[in-house]
Amino acid sequence: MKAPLLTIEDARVRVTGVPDKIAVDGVDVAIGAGEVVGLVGESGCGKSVTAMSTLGLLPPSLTPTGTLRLGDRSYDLGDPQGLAELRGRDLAMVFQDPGTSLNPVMPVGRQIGDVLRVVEERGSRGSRARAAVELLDRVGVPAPDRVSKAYPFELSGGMRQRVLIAMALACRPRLLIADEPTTALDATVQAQIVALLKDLATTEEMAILFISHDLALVGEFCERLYVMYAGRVVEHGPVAAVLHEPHHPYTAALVECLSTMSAGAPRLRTVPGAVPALGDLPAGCRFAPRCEHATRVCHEQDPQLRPAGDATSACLRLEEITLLKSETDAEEAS
Amino acid sequence: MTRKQADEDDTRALFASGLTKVFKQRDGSGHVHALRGVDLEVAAGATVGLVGESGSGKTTFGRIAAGLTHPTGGRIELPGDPGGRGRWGRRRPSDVQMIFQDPRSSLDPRLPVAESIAEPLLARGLSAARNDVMSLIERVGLPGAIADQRPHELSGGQCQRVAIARAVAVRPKLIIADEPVSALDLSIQAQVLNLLKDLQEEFGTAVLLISHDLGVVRFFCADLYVLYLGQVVERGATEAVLRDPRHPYTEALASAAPSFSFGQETTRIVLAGDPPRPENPPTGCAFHTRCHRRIGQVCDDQAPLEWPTQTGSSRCHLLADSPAPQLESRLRLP
Amino acid sequence: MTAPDPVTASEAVAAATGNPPAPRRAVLGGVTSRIAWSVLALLVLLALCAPLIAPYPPGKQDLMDTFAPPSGEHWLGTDNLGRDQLSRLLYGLRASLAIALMTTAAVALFGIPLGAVAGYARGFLNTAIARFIDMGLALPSLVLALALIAALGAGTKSTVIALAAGYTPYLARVVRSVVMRIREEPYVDSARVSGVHPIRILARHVVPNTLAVTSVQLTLIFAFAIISEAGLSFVGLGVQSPNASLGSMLASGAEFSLDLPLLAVAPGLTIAVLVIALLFAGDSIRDAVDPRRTR
Repeated sequence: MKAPLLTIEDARVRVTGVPDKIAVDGVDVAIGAGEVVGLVGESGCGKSVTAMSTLGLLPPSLTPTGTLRLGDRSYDLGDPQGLAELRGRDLAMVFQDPGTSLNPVMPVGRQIGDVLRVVEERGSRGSRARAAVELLDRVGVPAPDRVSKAYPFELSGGMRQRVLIAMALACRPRLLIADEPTTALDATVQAQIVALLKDLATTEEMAILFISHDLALVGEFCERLYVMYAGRVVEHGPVAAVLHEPHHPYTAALVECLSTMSAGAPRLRTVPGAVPALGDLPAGCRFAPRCEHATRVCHEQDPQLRPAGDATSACLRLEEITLLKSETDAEEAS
Repeated sequence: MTRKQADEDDTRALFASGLTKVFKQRDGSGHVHALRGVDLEVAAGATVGLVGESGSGKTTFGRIAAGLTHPTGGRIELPGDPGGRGRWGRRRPSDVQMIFQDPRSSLDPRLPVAESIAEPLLARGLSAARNDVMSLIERVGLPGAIADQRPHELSGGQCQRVAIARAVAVRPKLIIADEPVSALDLSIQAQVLNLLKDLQEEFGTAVLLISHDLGVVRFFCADLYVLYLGQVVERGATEAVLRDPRHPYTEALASAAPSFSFGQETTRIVLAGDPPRPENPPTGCAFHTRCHRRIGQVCDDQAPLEWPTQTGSSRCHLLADSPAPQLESRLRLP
Repeated sequence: MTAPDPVTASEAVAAATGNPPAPRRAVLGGVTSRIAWSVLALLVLLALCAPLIAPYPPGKQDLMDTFAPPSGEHWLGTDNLGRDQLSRLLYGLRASLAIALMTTAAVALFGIPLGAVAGYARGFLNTAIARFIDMGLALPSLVLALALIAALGAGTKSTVIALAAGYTPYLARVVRSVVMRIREEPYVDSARVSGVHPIRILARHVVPNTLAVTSVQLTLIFAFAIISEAGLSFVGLGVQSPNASLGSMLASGAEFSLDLPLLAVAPGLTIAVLVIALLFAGDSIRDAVDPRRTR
């Protein structure tokens, strides 16, 4: 793995004033320069909260702790002022809903210009307008000078998302955090945006932290992957390793869910039960109540992340269980 | 009603022919052609999928089928409305139910879920005794204790199960499911889809499943209609259509969908441009502005005819020349 | 005018963590609410018990003892006709509250169905009722009140009619706009698909879900009714002598304020306290009718 550009160390987020409600419970993430890393999990796993904590954007009802290291600088996640330095400069973020992320009464070119004004203190309005058009062009917007004068409501969802990406690029960030950037978009438009992001990662030498609940999308797009469950990372590693040979029952279950859906099997593989509520976490391994491989020790001990093949997994029974039936087994079964 | 018509009523859950729907724009500036001549049939007890992106008109079609809006033209026959005019004043088709995309907002937030489930029974004059409601709740895999809870106390997956219980309570001949699992996490999607499939098989209900997710329709639907800008561009048996698409749009859609092509080698087809707006449909073939297989002027000027395919039909000029042409497929499917 | 929910801490957490929001606090939560409700309860109690606790009949004159300052016999003194102010205040409070209550009830009775039907209907019916409501709003309410009272003669009944006529269009308009939003909700669509009759849909699904907004509006209307009645009585059009109302007492008190300022201050202060308490209590009602509160 390349030397990390950015690491998040021991990120923890709890509900302010309620010590036993923990949204993120000790997450470590490392991202290399120009690397595309995925962060997946279902609702309530804490992936968005983790991302927001790196930018200091959490509401006062959540208290983060932990360290963020960028190059040779380090920042305390609990200090939003310190993180504000990074926000809009080294780190940029693109959110899920392009519809509500843009000011509806301002032309998009001016909005990009506003970002530029913060980033480059000097410069005239004219030079910013030109830079905005260039940015729009770089994100593949057709007729960028016309679009620059348009209002958000005149643009489609895909175009708006491109505008947001352009605004993020304006900062020349070293890391772009994309939180479910394509969830609100159509499939064909999603394909375009993903292709754009992939392209930008190479041409701009920009790392991307891609947050999604869509395992398949992350599987196609990212080089490495972190899987989160109930506030913790349960598995991480190179995408091919994690998805083709998962070493954690949760990952395996999700992968199987997906395969049964695309294989047109007569019945879908499911994970029984539901994600535990914040204050209601079970003792021992958090996934144990829903895990088909759980034994007594799983309900008692807290698993730590350990190497597992090319990946790393937090499962107590790592060595003992085999996950994911082989291809032939799956075909025979369906 | 002739004998033939009576027979047809029994074997068809839905029959739409040349269905059109035009919305007038609020400011009087023009018209939105949401549906431009749709022919669609759902046999009794069949599972049919309707896929498309935003602007395709699939939601509008679903609403017309459920009796929530009237078509502007064409014919739609539903159980309980053999007249086919799609207009029924006070009478409503008594045998159609609907499941909505957002599980929480499809239930009245003030009512305990048992009352929401009982409502269609009461409206039809059927027994809605506590026992009946409880057995429905059990049938959808929920604990009896939730009967007196309100939607905000349940998870998204639980709310959708309640919505399903409500839909099947009256044993309808047809259920319109509009994106029933899009708002849910993957593992919960699988649970809900399995449930829906079980119930469909048990009660022999016809289901029209509207979705943008090809994996979902592949699992659930035997037949598939692909909608683009208010017209059916391809239809046929789901497996055949997705494995071997006979329309460039279907091909692109299948290629763009990550869950569908998960685990397989694909070359992603990335369409140029945004989905066109229904306010301003392109001339000729509606897809010509983005088609990666556009053959020439004919695509821009002439609307393509419907050509037969192995299990259905497709509207594409490419099929015009030979009796059973082969669209060179770039997908390698299992 | 819909009431957007405040972003409470629990909702922020819910958004961040995807868990359903925690139940809100009960209606009597918050110190201000508690004080407000206590004050209201006290005033209502006093008004109800007026016949029992008033030391003197409110109309009893004692021309030997006019403008008496507060004393053991007359806690709030006497007015220009020697009538005991405390008794008149109690009866006046009773009259004002009764008028405001009847007005609010009438406004709710007519305004909610009118607004609901207008909002739920589409096309011509919706627009027609909306314009009708607008006509009502276009007339200055005080002028309308004056005209109605001139036609019907002054007194309690006509005051109620005049005030109700003035405020009904306002409530109907608010209800209409909330209903127009609610009718697009999927649960309304679901009821329609199930074949539920539109009137039943309105009664069972739509109107109850407007309660959050309507209840706040109704407390505002109650407060406005108190003030408007005081205004009408002040100009002599509302409650007539010898009956007392807060407004008429304020009027005569103002006239004689040089002789005994308390004559104006007492009713004026009562009006102020009553209205302020109503406004604070109104806020907490909205939280109370929120279905997300666990019962």
